[in-house]
Order: sequence, then structure tokens, then C-alpha cells
Amino acid sequence: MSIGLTLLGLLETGPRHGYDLKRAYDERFGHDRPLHYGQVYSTLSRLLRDGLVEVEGVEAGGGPDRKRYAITGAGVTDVHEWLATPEKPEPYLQNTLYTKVVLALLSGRAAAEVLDVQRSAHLRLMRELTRRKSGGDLADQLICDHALFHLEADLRWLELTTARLNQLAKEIRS
Amino acid sequence: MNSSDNRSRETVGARSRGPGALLTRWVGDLALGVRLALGGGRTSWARLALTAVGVGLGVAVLLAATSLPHMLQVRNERGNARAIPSHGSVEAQQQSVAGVDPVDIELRNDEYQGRGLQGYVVQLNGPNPPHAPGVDRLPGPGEVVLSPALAELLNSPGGDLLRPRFSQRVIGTIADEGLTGPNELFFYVGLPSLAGQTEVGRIHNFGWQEAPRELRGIEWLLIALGAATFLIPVVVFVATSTRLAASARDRRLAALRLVGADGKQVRRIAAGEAFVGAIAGLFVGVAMFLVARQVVPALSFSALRGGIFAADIRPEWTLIALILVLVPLLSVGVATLSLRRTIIEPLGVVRRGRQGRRKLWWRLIPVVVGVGLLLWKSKSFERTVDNSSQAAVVAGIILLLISVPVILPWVVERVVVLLRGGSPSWQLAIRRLQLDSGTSARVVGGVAVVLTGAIALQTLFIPARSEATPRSSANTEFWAGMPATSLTEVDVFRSALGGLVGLGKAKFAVNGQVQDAKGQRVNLELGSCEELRAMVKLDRCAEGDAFYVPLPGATRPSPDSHTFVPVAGQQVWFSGSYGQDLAKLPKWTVPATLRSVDPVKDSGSAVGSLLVTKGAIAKVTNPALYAHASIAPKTPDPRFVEYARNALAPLGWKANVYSNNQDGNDIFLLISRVLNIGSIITLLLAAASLMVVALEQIRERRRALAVLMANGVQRKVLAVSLLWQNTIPIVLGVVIALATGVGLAVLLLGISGRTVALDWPMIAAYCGTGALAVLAVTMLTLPSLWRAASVEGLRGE
Amino acid sequence: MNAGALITDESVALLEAIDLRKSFGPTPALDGAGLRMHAGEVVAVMGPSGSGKSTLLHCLAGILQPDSGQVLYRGAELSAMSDGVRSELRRTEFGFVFQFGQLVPELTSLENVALPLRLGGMRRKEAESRATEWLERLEVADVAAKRPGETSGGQGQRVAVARALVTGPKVVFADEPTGALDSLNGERVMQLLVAAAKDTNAAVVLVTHEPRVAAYSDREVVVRDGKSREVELAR
Repeated sequence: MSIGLTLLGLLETGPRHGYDLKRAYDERFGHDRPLHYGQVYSTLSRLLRDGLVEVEGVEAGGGPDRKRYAITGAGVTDVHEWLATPEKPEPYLQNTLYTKVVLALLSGRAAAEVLDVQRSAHLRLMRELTRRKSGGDLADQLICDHALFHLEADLRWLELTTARLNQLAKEIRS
Repeated sequence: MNSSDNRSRETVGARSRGPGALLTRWVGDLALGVRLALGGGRTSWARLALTAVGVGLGVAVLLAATSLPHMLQVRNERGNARAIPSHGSVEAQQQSVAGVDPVDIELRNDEYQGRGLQGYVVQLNGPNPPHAPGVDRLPGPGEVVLSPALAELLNSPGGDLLRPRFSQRVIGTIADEGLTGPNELFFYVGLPSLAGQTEVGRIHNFGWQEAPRELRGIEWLLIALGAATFLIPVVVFVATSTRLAASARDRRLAALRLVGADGKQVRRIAAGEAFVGAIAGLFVGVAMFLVARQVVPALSFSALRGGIFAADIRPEWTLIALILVLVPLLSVGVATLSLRRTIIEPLGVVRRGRQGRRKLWWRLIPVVVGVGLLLWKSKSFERTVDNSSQAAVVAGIILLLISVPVILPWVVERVVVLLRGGSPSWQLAIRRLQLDSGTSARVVGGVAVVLTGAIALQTLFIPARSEATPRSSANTEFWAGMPATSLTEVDVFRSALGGLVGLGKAKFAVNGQVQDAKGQRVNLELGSCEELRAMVKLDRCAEGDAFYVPLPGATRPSPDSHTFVPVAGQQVWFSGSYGQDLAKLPKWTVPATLRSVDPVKDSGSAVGSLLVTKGAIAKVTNPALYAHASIAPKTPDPRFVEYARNALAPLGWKANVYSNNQDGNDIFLLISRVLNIGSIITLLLAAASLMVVALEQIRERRRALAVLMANGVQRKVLAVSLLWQNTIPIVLGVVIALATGVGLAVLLLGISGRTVALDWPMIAAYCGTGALAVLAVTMLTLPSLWRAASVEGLRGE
Repeated sequence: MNAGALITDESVALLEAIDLRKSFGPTPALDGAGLRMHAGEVVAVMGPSGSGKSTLLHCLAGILQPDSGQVLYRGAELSAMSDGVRSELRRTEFGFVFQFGQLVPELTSLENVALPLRLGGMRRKEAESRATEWLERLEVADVAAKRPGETSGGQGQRVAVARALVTGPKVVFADEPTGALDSLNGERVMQLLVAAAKDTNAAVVLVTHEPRVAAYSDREVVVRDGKSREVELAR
């Protein structure tokens, strides 16, 4: 999962100080692994270098956390593309997908879209596996089925999340 | 509509064009329906069997009903064939028939233990007596011909008290052609002489037809109402039977719709299915009818009057044809009509649309029209039958009766919606009813019709009965009477009865009639001085005396009246059954001692009569007298009257004994008997159909019941729930039946111009019986409920 | 039905639904749903329970009439057809496989499969010989003489597939066809159904909430709150 894109997504809701960004990130996505300050500032400087964020203003007193960062147009485009592109269907995607859904909700995008796109990607792979299974021998079938069942589990999670989007949106906005 | 649709429509139509193809389609669809009804293993066989039994019951009853006219007609014909002219009628003077020696004959209406016992006493006057139907040879003196039932009765232990009356030699039995029914007690007894009997006629041949009496208005109404009460439930049951397992059928047909059967096709398939049920029902019905036909002669209810010959039960062919056409038509019609929902909703299985609530307005049409018709014809049956109103009144009755099963489903639906909460069993029942009250309402609808008719009939009976001869039955008092031609015979009569053990209060009287040369008559009472004193004030009385009780001055007979005032020494004749020829009549001279006397108070009967002692008429040869006795036994033993009859038997079939419980031969009684039988049959039919429908209902809900059982619902809860499920509709049914029945009776009594009196205990009894029938049927279906609810019920489709 | 009467132009969709709306009482089941499919396509209709999947299928098949919107079958509007014509369509052009309940319990498997042919007026012998072929193809020839109640769920469902395909339909409507089956039986039924449909170039509308069943489709349409949605992924 990309911390950079996540921070960009958070910045989309409005300019923030680095410290605020870290807090916002930890609050939403860092339940078990909070970010280090160093990570935040190094990422921000990379984004600054790539022109995806800009320093909106510096408050008196100096020090790194006196800068307010804002997202640039290029940054927004990047976030949008990221959200609209399904992840490669593979196990343990939930963190990335969750982050994407939350960012979509925060930025007022259609979160369901994120999930629908992901479902399509999953299904595409499942079709592929199903096709391979139909033509293959028993060993192929068993291997394909294993993958299919895992993908199905992910897809079911996607469905469930979709069904709970409204609830999630309420919690995030509160 | 766009153009491509037009095209598609045309091409679709093209394939089914042509009459030949159409016919094939039709036959194919009907055959598929037949296949659906017959296929499907045990389930559909059970369904078919239940339908067939339900329809069959109806068909059997209809066949029986159509047999009625023929049965009554042949009974009547045989009765007439053996009848003789009633005594004294002008037509009684038969033409003599060459080669036939006329017989003297008298009809005796006797009884034995409340059973009617009829026959002729005959006196042969030559070797060639007329031929009596069913009798090889008329009995001579000391001989007797008996009906088979009478012969059997005499040989059975039950005939002990009858045997003394039939000590004669039996020379044959009466063949069926001489009897109205197989259990009729009938006899021909030969006597040396019938001289002195009062009702003797001389006949050259048997066969006589009484002019039938016209029906009274209320009698006609009773018959019309009875027939309607009797037949409408049959139609209701046939219709209900056809709708058995309607929900399973709807599912099946919805599945067919899905595969592409169009509305008309599904209708045809359903028609084919219903047709199979109806045809099976026809077969079952005919079989039931044939069995019943063989069983009926064995029935000997007194109501059947001598029983019914199996051969007499022959349905009318035209009516049979009508039944054969109408029953399948009715089944198919009901099946097709009840399909409306499935037709609209081809996806019955997948998505059931919200059921529309029942509508009331069209259900009220029969009530409104029925009441209107009856009000319109009000008073038209006050006295006799008003032919021009018959159709309207019958239609009114039928409409009102039909309105009961029509309105009931609506009422049940509306009422159960209001019910709430309660115990689990109650909750199961009312929720079930709220989901589908139609089946239960139909179940009790038939019973409710019977109830309605019964209540109306009962209410109509009250005035009808009071117009018929009233009879008290608790009384064991009886009357004996005998014509006598000598004082000795009078004494024999007295001593025969007097010798009876346990004779209670007995009152004897002997009377006769004397006439003068002009034919004017005066009544004559014979008695001892003691007995005469009870009637008139006598200062002195001796054997040989005669008295006259003059009429009060104002009513003194005029010279041209029928009576005359006897005077001492006057020549008079005993008038009796000897005709008017004075030369043949017993002659008597009024004694010179004749005195006028006054009656005692409260003895009006003696006024205008001659009172004589035995001595006064001792010298008369063969005086025409009539001896009476009224006897009130000390103990109310019903056998006592039989003892009396036996005691009088040696007097040679002259004496008659009448008791209170003897059946009269009244049209009203006949109607009431037939109606009683009808309502018994209808009630049985109602219960049987109820059973069929209840069983089907359980069968259909087998799975749901099994699931409940598997979930640990106690049997008791299920049973009680089933009971509630039937009780709620029956209570509503009873209420409606009560209202409609009483209303109908009130309207009909209005038509016949009579006031209304309700026999509440009887009505309560009817309602109780109806409710009881439902409860009993519920009980009887419990075993099948347990079977259905066992875990086995979870298996299957 | 004579296929020539309908538009066969490839540019016209075989079956197309445009902006369908349908309510049961106050609750809308379809609220602007649409679908477009071509011959030989297998389209999965996915979505949570109560989303309107089945309603969409019923409208597409002409079983339900939408309150508004159009269903075009080869360019002809279903709602403008008479009941008789729609029945004929169901019999000749459409096939149905449901979760359960679509077989007539009174009839044997063979008779059930032959039923649509016979309803169309075909002679029994011919209808049953065709039905036998299909039973064999779906590997259930051994239950031909049994009634639905006497077969296993998997067998019954294959009989249902055979019945859906026996008339050579252009569209097969399958509503949770494996819903009552275990994985193995479900897979087999889907393989047979899709293979048979591909062979006859029949389109399949496959309503399911199971991803593994949906994986037999060529593409999927998601129905949510009565609205349908299709995702076009960049290859």
C-alpha cells in the first residue's frame, strides 16, 4: 500500500500540517502500525519534489511542522487514478481497499465505484481460472479451485463492505 | 405498438392456425391435464381419490334425488292397483265383470306396536274371485295371504303379540307387485261372512284411484325449501371438492405458465385435470348409488313406510344425462374460475402478489335479489299453491341459501383480521386463517347451508304442524270399537276387553241409529239403567224401558229435517250398512213406555237421542249397533293396546283399536318424513365432505406441520390450533346460518300469510349439531394430522 | 416462432432493457435498471439480496410487466405483446432454470423436459426422443422415468437445465440455478449449462450472488437498490 497516495488522499480534504496528517492517518488507517514522523516528512518531501503537493504557508517559529501542505492538481489526478484502478487481485488486499474506500468517502467520491471496479477485476481473474479449470486436469482443477475460493472470499468481503458503505460513511464523517 | 411486434404477433399466430391443428392442441392440452391428475404417484392419487369421493357423494345424492319421482310413482301405482273404492262413494258401484264372482271386502287399517298394519278381509262369493295384484289366490274362510315382511314378523320373537291375530292357515305370500315396499305389513284374510261390518264393499276387480288432494300453500313451500336445502349443499360440495388442493394446483400451473403455456392453455389443462376428478367422481357416485340401492330395502325406518324396493329406485334417464353433463361442467367451471389469479400471475411460485381483499358487493347480490323476490311474492301462498309465483319463490329460496357460502368467506376474512395474540395454538390458528381463510370458509360453508335450510324448515314446520292434526303421544289411552248385530256380540265385546288384566279406567258405550219410514233418523244409545242415569235424570228405570231426550224447544225438528221425534208405539227400523230397502232393515217398535226425560248437566250428547235398555230391543233380530270403549290403562304399558287387539281378534276382524301413536296418513306427515330423511342424508354428506376437505387441508400443509413438530411444538398445540382453525369459521358460519335461516323462514311465512314463531331450543339443537359435526370431524382428522406431522412429512418433494 | 420475423441484425441487441422501473406496493424493486446483451453471451446479474436481480430477470423474460421502461427482444417490445405471444416466446425462444420449483411434480423427468415441446404441439414421440437426447447430454438419462420428488437436487437441476434448453432457446434465464446445490453439483450444473448454451449460441442471463457461479459468465451487471451498473475494465 502506498503511504504517499494515502497522504495525498487525506490532503485532498484540505491543507494540513505534517503533524495533523500523521494524526489523521493514524486515526483512520494506523490501528496497529502508526506512522513515524520521519516517514511522514520524508514522504511529504518526495511528494513535494514530484509536484504533487505544495507548501501553502509557513507559520512563524520555524521547525519542520510549521509548514502547511496542500495537494496540487497533479496530486488530485494521481489520487483519482489510484482509486479508479483496481488492485491486482491477490490475497490480503483489505488494508489497501479499506484505505481507498475511506479516502473515497472523505473526498466525496463514489466509494461503491472503488469496490465495483475491484469486483470486476476479481471476477475477471476468476473467469480466467474457471476457464483454465475447465480445460485442465484434476491437479489443475484443484489448484484453480483453491485460488477461486480465496478470491471468492475477498469478493464476499467486497460485497459486505459495499452493503455497509452507508454505515461506514456515517462513522467517518462523525 | 411498434411494427416489429406486429410482425412477431403474426408469425406466432400462423403456427396455430387451421381447425385441425387447433383441435390437436386442444386435445393435447386436455390430455396433459388428465396426465397431471393421474400422474404424480401417491400424492396425486390421494388428491384424485378425495376429489372423487367428494364429487361422488354429491352425484350419489343427486342420483337418489332423481330416483324419487319414479319411486313415488310406482309405489303409488301399486298402491292404486290393489285399492278398492272407498265405502259409500257413488263410484263404488262397480260394473259387474263377466266370469268374475264379486267379493265382499273391507280395508282394515291396523297397527302393531306403532307399525302400520294394513290389509283386506274378504268374503268369497264364488269360485272366480277377482285377481288381487301379487296374490295367486284370494283366501277363503280360515285362510290368509301375508306379505313377506309380515310373515317374517310373525315368525320372529318380536311377533309374539301379533300371532293371536293371524292364527289362520297361510296359503301364500304377496308378491312384490302387490306391495308398495319390501317391509310393508299387508294381509288378505278370508272370512266366512262380512255381514255386519260397517265398511264392506262389493267389488268385481281391484284398482281404484282417489282424486289427489291439492297441496296447501305451506306444504308446497315446505317441499320447495326442503328440496333446495337438500340439493344446494350437494352443489356446494361438488364445487368444494373440485377445489381441493388448489394451492398445489396453482403452483403446478404456474410452473406450466413459466414453460410457456399461455392463459388459455393453462385453463384447458386445468379443465382436463378437473374433468378427470369429475369423471372419477361420477363413477364413484354411481357405485355409491348402486350400493345404497341394494342396502335401502334392508332399512325399515317407520319413516320409510314399508321400505323401498331396490327396483323402484330407478333414476330418470333424462335427469341422469343432465347430471352426467352438469357435474363435469360444474367441476370444470369452478376449476377454471378459481384460476383467475394464476392466469394473471404466471410467476405464482416466484413472487406472489399481495392478495386482494375479498369484495363484498357482488356477494350481496344473491341476498338482495333473493329477499326482493320473496318480498315481491309475499302472501301469494296463503292458501293454496300460486303457480305463477312458484319460479320466483324457488329462485328466492335458492338465492338466499346460496348467499351463505358466498358471504361466509368475506365475513371470515374480515373477522380474523381483527383477531390478535393469545396462546401459541390460537396464534397459529388465526395467523393461518389470516393468510388463507378461504379454505376453512369453504369447509364450513357447506355445513352452514344445511344449517340455514334446517333452521328455515324448522321454523316453517311450526305453523304447518299446528295446522295438521295434532297428536299427543305421551298418552297410552286407546279406543276400541266394533259393529254388533246382537246384544250377545255387545256382551262379548265388553267381556273381551273387560277380561284384560290391568284394565284401568274403561268407558263403554253402545249406539245405533233408527229411522222412520220417511228416512228421518234419530240416534240411539243403549245402556243399563245405571249407565243411562249418567246421561239423563231418571226417577225410575226398569229393564225394557226406553226414553227420549227432547231437543230444546227452539231446535225442535221440523217435519222436513233429517231427524224425527219418536213416539211410543212407532214403527222404526235400524239403519246401518244394509241400504235403504226397508224390507231388509231390522224392524223395531218403540216401546209404549217411552218417556221424555231431561239430560243431566254436561251431557249434551244425549240430547235428541233415544235411550234404551237392553230389554227394549231384545226382540229385534240383527240390530245394527256399534259398541265403543275408551280405555286408559293403569300402567302406561305400550303393549297393552296389543293385548286388547288380541282379545278382540277372536271376534273375527270386526273390532278396531286405535291408539294415540298410530301414524296418520297425512300429506304433511309424508312431507315431514321425506324431509327428515333428506336432512339426515344431507347432514351426513356435509360431514363426509367436511372430512374430505379437512384431510386434504392437512395433506397439503404436511410439510409445514412436520417442521413445527420437528421444532418441538407439542401435539396438543397443533391439535388445538386445528380445532380453533375450524371453530372460528364454524362459529361465524352458525351466526350467518342462523340469521339467514330465520330471515328466510320469516320471508316464507310472510308468503304464506302466517305469523312467525321460533322454536329456539330446536334451533339451538341444530346449531349445536352443526358445530358438533365440525368438532367431530376435527377429532377424526387428528390421526391423519399426527401422521402428516411426523418427521416423515419433512421428506418428499 | 419464426426467427425471421424478428430483427436478426447483429447491431441490434438480442435482448435489451432500458430504464426499467417496477414497484411492488410502495417499495421500488427496480429503479432505472438496464441491460443489453447479444447472442451467445453469458451475463451474470449480481447484487445483494433484495437488490432487484430477480425482478430484472422476470421483466427481461416478460413474466413481469415493468411499470415503465422498455424490454426489447430482437427489437420488439415485450410489454406490447399479448399474453399469448409472450407465452409463446417463453416456450420457444426462452428457457428457464430456477433455484427450485420449476419442475411439475406430477410428471417424470422425461415428461418435464418434453413438456415445452408438447405445449407447442409437437407429437409425443418426437418430443420425448429430443428430451431423451438432452437428458443424456446433461448426464441424467437414468432418472428419465423418475419424478422430481424422487431425484436428488443436482439431478433435478440438470433436468431443469435440459428442459430449459430442449426448445433451442435464444435466451436462457437462470435465477440462482445452483442456489440449492453443494459446490461440486453446482459447478457441474454450471459447466453443463454454459457449455450447452455456448454450443447452441444461446445467451444466458445468470442471476446469482455467488462469485464462483458468476465466474462462468462473460461479464457481469451489478444491481444495487434497483439500479444496474456495468463496469468496463481497461484490458
